[in-house]
Amino acid sequence: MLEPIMLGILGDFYFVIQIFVMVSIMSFILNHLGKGIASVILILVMFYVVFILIPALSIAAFLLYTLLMAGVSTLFVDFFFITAGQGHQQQQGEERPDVLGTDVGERKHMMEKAHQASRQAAGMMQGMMRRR
Amino acid sequence: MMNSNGNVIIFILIAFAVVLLLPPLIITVFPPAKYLFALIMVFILFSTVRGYLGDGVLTYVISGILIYFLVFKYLMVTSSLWVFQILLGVGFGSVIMWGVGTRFR
Repeated sequence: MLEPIMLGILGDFYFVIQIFVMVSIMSFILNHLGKGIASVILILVMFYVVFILIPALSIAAFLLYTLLMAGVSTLFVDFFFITAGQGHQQQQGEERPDVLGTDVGERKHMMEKAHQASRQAAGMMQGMMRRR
Repeated sequence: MMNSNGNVIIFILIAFAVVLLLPPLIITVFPPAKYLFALIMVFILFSTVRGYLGDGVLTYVISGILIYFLVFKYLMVTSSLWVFQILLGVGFGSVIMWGVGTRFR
């Protein structure tokens, strides 16, 4: 049921991508050779290559080029090097920088405990002095 | 592509699917948005082809073919891809990678 619809959609998009490939090739040729007989011949040759000779390879190359131009390579670098590097560091037991202030909190807690202990000690000393 | 916290690929695919479903969702909730998307698509396609080929009959012919397929026939797909392209352009890919990176911590 879905197969003919999907094939239709894929076929249409295949054609659309072929047109995009052809437009970018035409633009490249016209920019480099200008409007002359040589560029017309070259455009016709490329038309034959893209639409008849190797359509699948042309589309694959164009999609890869477009994705690379859109910055997909930086995503791969992020994923495979930066993210993987973080995971590796943590596996080796290296400490991460404390950005949440937990060490400051711990120090404050310890200071409060020390104050409390000193107050208790002072209280005990006063009690002992009164007894005398 | 697996780690101890779960399958990373699933998170990437979910993030991408949510992004791709945004335009159909907007059009379903607010139907006039369809015309807005169509207008934007026409402008983008025409300006893209004109940027490649300059002014001429060929530009109108190729723009017409592309507009028929991408705007009149498959508006939902095209608008999804357009939103996806915009989000990639403003660095949404990095956000996804950051989200994936948090699963490693």
